Amino acid sequence: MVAVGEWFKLPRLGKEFFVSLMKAGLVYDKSKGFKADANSNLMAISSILKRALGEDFEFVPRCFTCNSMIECYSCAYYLICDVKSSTSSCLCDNCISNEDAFAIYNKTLMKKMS
Amino acid sequence: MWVEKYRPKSVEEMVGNEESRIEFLNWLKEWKRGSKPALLIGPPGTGKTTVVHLVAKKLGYNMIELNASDVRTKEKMMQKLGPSLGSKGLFGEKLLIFLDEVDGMYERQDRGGIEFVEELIEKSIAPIVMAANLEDDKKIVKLIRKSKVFRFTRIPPRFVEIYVDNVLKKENVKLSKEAIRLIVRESKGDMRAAINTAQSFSGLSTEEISSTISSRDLTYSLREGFESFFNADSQEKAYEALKNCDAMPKDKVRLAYTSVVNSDLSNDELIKALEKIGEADEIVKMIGKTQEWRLLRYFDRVLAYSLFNAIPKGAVNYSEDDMPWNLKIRMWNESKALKSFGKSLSKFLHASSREVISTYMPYLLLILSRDKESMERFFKALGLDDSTLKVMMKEAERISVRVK
Repeated sequence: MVAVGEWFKLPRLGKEFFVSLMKAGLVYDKSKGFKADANSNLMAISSILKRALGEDFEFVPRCFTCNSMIECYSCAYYLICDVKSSTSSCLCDNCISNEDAFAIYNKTLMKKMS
Repeated sequence: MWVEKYRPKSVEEMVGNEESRIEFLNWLKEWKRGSKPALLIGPPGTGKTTVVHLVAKKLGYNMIELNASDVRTKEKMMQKLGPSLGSKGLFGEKLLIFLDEVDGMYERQDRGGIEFVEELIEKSIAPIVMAANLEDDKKIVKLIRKSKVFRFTRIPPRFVEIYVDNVLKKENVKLSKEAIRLIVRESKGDMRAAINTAQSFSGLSTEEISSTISSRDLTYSLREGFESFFNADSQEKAYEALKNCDAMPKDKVRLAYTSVVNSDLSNDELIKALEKIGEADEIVKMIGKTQEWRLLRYFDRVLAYSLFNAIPKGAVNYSEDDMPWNLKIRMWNESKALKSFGKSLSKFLHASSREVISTYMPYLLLILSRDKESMERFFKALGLDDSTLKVMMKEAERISVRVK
């Protein structure tokens, strides 16, 4: 699992896979590695990497308020949610179950906006 | 109405698309003459228009707005925007030009509008902000290249949940967590719909909410779904039609296919449409192979978005061929081989290749099927290639089984 927007390393996959990944919008930096951003097609990248690595590869969102990684499988909205195919952030189980979830969200947003 | 009462009054009160909101705010803060225009792209109902209004208000901009309801021909736009192109506001106030739904400007009634927008980008001394629903539309690729793009996605359901929860707290209405989740699921990421539903359900029990929602569930038959799809005004409506269509994905692919091949599309349009159907079929195939049923959630979107953009509106109607799909595929795949067999034998039998296939072939294959080696020799003597040979051997096998 890799969080959207974060740099990660991959083993050498060969020219063909590399070109496909670039076409799907994965960002590459020689020193930092790879990163998915707002222009990336997450679904395509995951599928290319699954083929290339021979194992499941998944992008996961980070919690907007506490920045922890979120696993989507257990979410009540799994079937109707686009977060996994977009670069959007979400809220983790802990933060959403907080009584003041909205106030905390707002505080974080104000902090990031200032 | 709660939806009016709780409409965000500042950009900080909104939820979802935080990164894009912050980036857009910073873009306008730092805007200087010569900066690229802003282009906000995302599906309807994701807050693009609201964010432009609220950010403009926050930074003290007066806004000149042209939306889809205005006629946006070059002349009309010139009339409305012309005076503000080369000057600052009369009292030195800051101006912002906002063109909503620019992707809808390519319709016939907006002739010349998009060229005007391109001119506007070059000349304007005020910041220009545009909003569009479609990203993969080739027509706005030009604008994308010239603009600073901010992408908006559907508001994640968990953000809708905390917003609705907050509204309910302020209204002193108690709904269970499960009831709120039902409302959020029902709204499918649309904040306005969620707040309206929450208001209409306030005071109901979770069971009552659940039964109301399930009775409201809109499902289409295959026919209704595809009729709505082919007549949809927008990509989003087309997607909704397919999504609410109660049918298996392979049936949707089959129906999209039969409808497209029975239409009057030009060859180029037909090829494009079939390619798009093929892409959706790949997902069905992938699910069958890997059993990863979670991919199913992408299927309707892929089929709806790609096919909708590949066919001209009104050019395709619902059509269901009554010939079984598998038989049709077999006929197409094998027609080349059968023709080649008919042609090679016709000169010996003094008959047309069609007659060879329909009259002689079944008997000939039946006789030959009794001795596999002789059959192979016979076909080879006719000079048939390997793929034709394979098809004919299979056909002989089928006939012999049927006769037995």
